[in-house]
Amino acid sequence: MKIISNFLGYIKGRWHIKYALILPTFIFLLVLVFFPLLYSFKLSFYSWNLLRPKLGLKFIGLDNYLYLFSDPQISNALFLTFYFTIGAVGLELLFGMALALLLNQDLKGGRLYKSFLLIPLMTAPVVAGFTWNYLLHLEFGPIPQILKFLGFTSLASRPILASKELVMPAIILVDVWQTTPFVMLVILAGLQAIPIEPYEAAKVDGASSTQIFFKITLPMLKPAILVALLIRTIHAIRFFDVAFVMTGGGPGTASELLPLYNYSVCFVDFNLGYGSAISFLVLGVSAIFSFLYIIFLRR
Amino acid sequence: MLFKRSFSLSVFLIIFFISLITLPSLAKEVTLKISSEVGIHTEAWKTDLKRLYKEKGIKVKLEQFPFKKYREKLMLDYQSGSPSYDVNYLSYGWYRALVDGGHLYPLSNFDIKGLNLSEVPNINLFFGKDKKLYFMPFMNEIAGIIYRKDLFENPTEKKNFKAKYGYDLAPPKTFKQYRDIAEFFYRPPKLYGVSLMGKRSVFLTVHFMNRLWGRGGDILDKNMKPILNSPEGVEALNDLKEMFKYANPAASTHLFHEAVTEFTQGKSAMLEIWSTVMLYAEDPKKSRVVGKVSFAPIPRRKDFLNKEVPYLYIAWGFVIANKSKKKDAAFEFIKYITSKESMIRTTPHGNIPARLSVMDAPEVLKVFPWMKTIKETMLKSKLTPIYPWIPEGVTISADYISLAVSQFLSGEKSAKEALKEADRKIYKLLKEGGYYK
Amino acid sequence: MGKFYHLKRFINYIIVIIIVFAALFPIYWIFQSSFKPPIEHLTSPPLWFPKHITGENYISLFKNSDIVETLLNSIIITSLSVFIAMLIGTPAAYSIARFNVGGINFPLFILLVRMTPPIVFVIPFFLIAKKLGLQDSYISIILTEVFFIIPLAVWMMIGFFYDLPTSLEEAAMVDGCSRWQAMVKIVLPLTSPGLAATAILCSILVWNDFLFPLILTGSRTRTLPVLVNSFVTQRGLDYGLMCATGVIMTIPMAIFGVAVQKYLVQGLTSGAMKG
Repeated sequence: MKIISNFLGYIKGRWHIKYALILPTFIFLLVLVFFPLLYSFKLSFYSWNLLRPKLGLKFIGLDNYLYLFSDPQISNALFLTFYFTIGAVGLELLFGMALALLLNQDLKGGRLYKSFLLIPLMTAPVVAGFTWNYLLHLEFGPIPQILKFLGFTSLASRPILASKELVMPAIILVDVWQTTPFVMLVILAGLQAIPIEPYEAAKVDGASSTQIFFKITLPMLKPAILVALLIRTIHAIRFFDVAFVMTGGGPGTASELLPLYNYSVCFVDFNLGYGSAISFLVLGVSAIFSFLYIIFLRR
Repeated sequence: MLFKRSFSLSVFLIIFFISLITLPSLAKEVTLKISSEVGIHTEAWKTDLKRLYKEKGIKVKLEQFPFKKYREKLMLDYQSGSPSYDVNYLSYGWYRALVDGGHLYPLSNFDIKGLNLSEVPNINLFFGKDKKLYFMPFMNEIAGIIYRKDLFENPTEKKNFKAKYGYDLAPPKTFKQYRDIAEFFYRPPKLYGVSLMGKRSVFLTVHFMNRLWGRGGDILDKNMKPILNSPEGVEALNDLKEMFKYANPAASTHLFHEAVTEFTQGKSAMLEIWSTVMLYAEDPKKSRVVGKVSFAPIPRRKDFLNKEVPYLYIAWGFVIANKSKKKDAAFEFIKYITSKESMIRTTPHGNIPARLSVMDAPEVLKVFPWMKTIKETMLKSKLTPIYPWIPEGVTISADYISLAVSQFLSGEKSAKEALKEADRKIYKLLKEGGYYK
Repeated sequence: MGKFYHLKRFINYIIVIIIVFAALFPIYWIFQSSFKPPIEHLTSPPLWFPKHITGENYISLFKNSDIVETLLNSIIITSLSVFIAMLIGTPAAYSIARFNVGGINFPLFILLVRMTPPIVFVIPFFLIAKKLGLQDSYISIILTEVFFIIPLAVWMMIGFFYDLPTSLEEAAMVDGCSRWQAMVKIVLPLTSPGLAATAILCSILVWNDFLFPLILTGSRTRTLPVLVNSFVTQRGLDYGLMCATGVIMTIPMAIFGVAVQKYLVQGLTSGAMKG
């Protein structure tokens, strides 16, 4: 009896409001992260086609994972995902940086411009997808007309979303339109956090504006750039909505990014074992970048 | 403040949400819940629902979904274990997987003599392995070409055509004639030779299968082994690619709706589609070519003109959910709405009826004279579903083949490579499904 | 500086204005299209401004019970999941900020959850919902959305609690308040702008989310993005109605976004950068 009351007293002493506060979130996340992930991980070692429920689950060891290596749609999807990530994130960084530098020069109405630029960021990706489908439509859309006006007649006379060379640039363009404001915001916040003294010192020394940019601004912006870069990268890997609405992966597999292929294996073919294996591949790719993220964060 | 306000808002929403769930259960009336797509033939049988209520006392609560999402929704609804509907109106390609999953209730458990099945073509397709009927077709349609009668009968066009090609302008019988006519009418941007659906989707599979079957090719052989990578397959792909030359360049991003709109706005001479679309073309609210169109069967290769080859056939019909608590009423409904009398009433509202006797009923022919061609074609062809008749068929047609065709058309793969890859995937799928010993 | 200063400034203005126009053009396009009658959508070349301005697209939108129901679903799901996430996330953030519970590991764990691609969770969630018979139910989609936003809610609120000096609570506690009372009476009112910003950002995420609702909702519970997607693939494509729906979906979120733009960076970078 004494042991029990001691124990209860011990718990009472340790049991603090701080645990009570965090417990719901902790349990919630624990249940919704580990249980589903374990379940899905188990599934990735089974063959399971929901169109044939009577066949049930069949253990096939590593077959799903081995098939990842020989499935040509996987290598294509991986390539496209990297292509998209590098293209989109690179351009967003470039444009976002330029925009931030421009807006940092306290132009009149700077807040207003910033507010306007936020609107694409707030648009639902699905809406962005159908809007751009409409804009790019060869007959009813304005973009072919604009291209014609600018003299790109050959570009204006073919359906961009049906061309295997142009479909990815088009999707990248949509993402650049939508998320450059985010990069701009992050870099702008970084710019505004730079103290003024180094600039004054540089001016006294007679440095040119290019020198100032590369010697002072850029190094001091490094943390902001890294954060923007990494967050954008992680989102680019999971990029799904816009491509799903615009092309569904076509023509052929020319825009079939990894999450799109994963979706169609799971919810068009209902092949959930292999689908789970692909989702762990997505997780792996993403984890590499998340790892980098954590390293930079802990510095 | 804001916190408080959002709290009271949430309380309000919770109450609202609970009432939303409980309200329907308070209703006492015997009502069938039915799901369907947003489509013209659904609109047709809808017109008889009032009469059904008067005569049989069955009320229908209908929920309609867009075509492409409908299948996914339906499958997910059944897989949830508690399906939301008593009756589904669905495409024949989907019901197999539902039978396999034990989700459907056999119609044969009722007295199916009342359904008069003998005059429904292909009805044996809808009996399961247990010899029980699960699916009652309401609409039967076939692939075909809808063409501009006014252009085909125009004397100047006829003269010019004969001068250029050396034979008379008429609905095409062979693939070669089909290409010639498309080329002849290709006058961009005012008029295109043919309207096609080139976006990666099951519609591409339709275009391909039309050309594959018309040359004696097929997806699977008798042993269920895939045989797409064949001379016929390659020829079919190349033929399709050539047809796209005479279509609107935007056709490569088109789906069903865009292709139909193009044709009904008078911007193309032919539309390769299926028979129901005649109803769109004859709808004065949407079409500018009313009265100027007619229907012709899909052409064939010359050496197959007089042979019986598979021919694309589509059916939509009704099934009853196993877990429905109103099965008797559900069967009454199906019997009523697929009866000859009801079909004669509903067909003029926009349907290609599943009963042969309805097709040449005078009431129907008065409105749709071309229904005769459809009946003739149906009687002469080996009507074949676009999906191989197994649960995996949807995966094969809607995913694997459409992808292969799209890969070839976009130049990603050669015809042989694309078909070989499709064959490989089909083989793998069927092997895992236990079709090969 | 010198004589080029004004020219340079002028050029900057021009560039910024061009960029703003380019960024807003797609929004303008669906906005003006939503006021076009059906016939003006299918003209080639397209009309840059409606010839006959009409509200019929909006009228048919609000007459369409399908769309109205979906709009209500979106409102219900968004508000409830944000409410729940704030309700359990805010105390957790407070606990982390004040007592450093779980050290660095718990916040990092939350961050990792946030970085995991949603498609990884979609498959098990779908199957679990199916097993529990929770498909097409508000419960499954709301729980999933709470899961989706709670890392953001916690991370943002940690930042706001850090910024609040502890002396205020301590003073209250010296005056005899309990920890709870101090939280409710002092901390929450003082961080209410932060609470509002967090709730708004979370709402935007849920409102725009597509993948989870695509899999987990059905005819009864589907949300606006799922509906918009079905427009695209629908047989009877209707540009006017589609654009009107897009506008209805975008306007509240754009207003929200502009309202909380001060906190956007902090929110969207999820604590990776100190406020």
